[in-house]
Amino acid sequence: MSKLYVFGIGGTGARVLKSLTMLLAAGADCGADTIVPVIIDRDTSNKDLSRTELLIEDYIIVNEIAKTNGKNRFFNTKIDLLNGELCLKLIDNTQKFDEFIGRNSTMSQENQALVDMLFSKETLKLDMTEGFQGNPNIGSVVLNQFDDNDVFKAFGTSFKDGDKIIIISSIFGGTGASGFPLLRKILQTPNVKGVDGKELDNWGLVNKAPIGAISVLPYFIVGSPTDGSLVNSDTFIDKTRAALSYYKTEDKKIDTLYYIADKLTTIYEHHKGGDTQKNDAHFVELSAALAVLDFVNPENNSKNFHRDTKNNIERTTYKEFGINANIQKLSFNNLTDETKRLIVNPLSRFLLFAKYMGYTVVKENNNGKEELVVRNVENNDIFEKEHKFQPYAHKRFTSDFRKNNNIQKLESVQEKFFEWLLEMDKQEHKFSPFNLLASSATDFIEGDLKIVKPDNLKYKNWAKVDNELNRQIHKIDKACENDSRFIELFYRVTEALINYKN
Amino acid sequence: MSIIRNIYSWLSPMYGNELYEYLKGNDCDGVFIGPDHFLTIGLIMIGISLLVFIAYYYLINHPRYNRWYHWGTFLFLTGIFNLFIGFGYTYSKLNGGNIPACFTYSQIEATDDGSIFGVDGTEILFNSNCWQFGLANAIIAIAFFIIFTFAFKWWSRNCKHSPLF
Repeated sequence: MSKLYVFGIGGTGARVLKSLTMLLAAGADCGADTIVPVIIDRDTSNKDLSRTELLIEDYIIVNEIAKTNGKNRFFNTKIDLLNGELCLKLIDNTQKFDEFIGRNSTMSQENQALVDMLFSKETLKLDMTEGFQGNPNIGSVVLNQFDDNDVFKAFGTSFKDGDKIIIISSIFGGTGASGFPLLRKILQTPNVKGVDGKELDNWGLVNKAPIGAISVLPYFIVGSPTDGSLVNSDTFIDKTRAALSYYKTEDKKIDTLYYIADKLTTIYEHHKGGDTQKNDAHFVELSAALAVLDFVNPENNSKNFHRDTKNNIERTTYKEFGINANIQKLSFNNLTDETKRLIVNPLSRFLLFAKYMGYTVVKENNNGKEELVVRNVENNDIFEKEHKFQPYAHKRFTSDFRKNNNIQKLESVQEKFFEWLLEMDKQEHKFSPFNLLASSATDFIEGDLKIVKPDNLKYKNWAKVDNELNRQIHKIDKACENDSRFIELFYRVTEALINYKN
Repeated sequence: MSIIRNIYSWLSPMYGNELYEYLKGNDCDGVFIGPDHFLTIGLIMIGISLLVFIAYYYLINHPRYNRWYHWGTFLFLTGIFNLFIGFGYTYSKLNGGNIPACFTYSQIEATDDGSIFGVDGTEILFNSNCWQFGLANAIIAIAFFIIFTFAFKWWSRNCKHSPLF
């Protein structure tokens, strides 16, 4: 049972983890049995972080019922948390950067003068509770305290031979740019000790573990600041250049380094952090999540890992993500065959499942402005309309079934999945493989990929789905619990109706 | 096949004893001379009920037609087909002169050459009896449809819980 430890640093790390969780919920193939996510962020009130946290909590609950011993691949990969926590909280009670380094309390006059030369007044007075606001020079000082953390110790304790590590970060922010090299350094430093002076468990294994990193280059800019923020997207490219020149020193210290970037940038509202920092999902984050799956795919071992006989890294593999066409609105047609094989079936099948349960995108009027939002619409809720009449649901999936906590969590993920797709569809560089407004069971995939079993004379639209549900129910192990049977059933049905091959 | 005849006999008050005796295959003295028309009509009736049942549960077998009123429609169709078949069969016999006068008139006379004819004005078998027989045929067909439903619907993929979910 191999694990992949995924360290997501900062807001980008949290959003990539969210995309990864969505892919796993949809049943994308993962070469690891278990994913252990850890988010490192000083800004624990960050809305992106809390959205990812809630999603992962729901996923973990649904994963328990997804173990059907059948064909099911939805929520198939286990997600485990270290010490039951997602976020590696950095321990200290200081708020401003000058308090953290003790400028006014413990430093001599000479050291104070040195600090004043290295950091500007604004930087010294920076309130770090909402992150480092694009200052990796602060991050590299503050983040140098991983080894004292309980979650980090739990990481060492749980690490086994054969497990892998991957670090996800942005290169143009504050937390990510500083966090990645620091974390890599600690992971490969021998005999790291905790505050108690004891060496962290299994650290020898951690030092030599297969390790990868995903570095996300600028893919968005922010508008003018409104809350005293120091983030300035004019400096993103310069910071990227500076970080990239530093990352040359990571050569032969990482097995595989993925660079993910997008030239077509989106403009996000400017929020320095906290619960207002909530960026819409972007295709770049999905690409970064695909890089995680590429890293653990056993078929890529010969490309991703080059070690000598002493298990030292001989050379680093550098990878980028590419698409077939440089256009503003991407559909499945514009992805390479390899990417299509990974995501077409899982995303389409899970979306069909969510649509059957009534989730869809509707236009709503909000303060005079028309917006697209995700809702559960009674008229689209085929399950609610049909379960009273269909044999597959008879005495199994009754009206009370949806009140079951596991099923409510499943539907919560389905709703978030729809929102995730909608957010990517709204970006400047759109990822729009689906017509999210379509109410039909068959015509929701954009482009000319004909992968949904066509209507025949007898069964059209949602009747086709119900027919398949009634057919498949008898093939499922009767020993399965009802909620597990539900997931297994819908996986089999969506697999029978949607089958992309290339 | 006396079972089929017995079933039709339960409803003979509806369509008249005379018609019943004729369809049974009896002569004017109550002796069986054949053919047993109930056998013919009965087998057609059972065949149609079975076909409509199979069409609903196994040929159409549609997840959008598994409400009780869809089943009710096919039940009604079974009845209607057999109503017209029952009527048509007896009507053709009545108006084709196939039914002996002893069953169609209350008073009969014999001609010099020995042939029997009914006295005008004493008719006892009318077209309305044919409709009544059609109705009886429909009722029996509906009963068979219901029996087939509850005996053999369980293998239908989409309709096995129709009409009672």
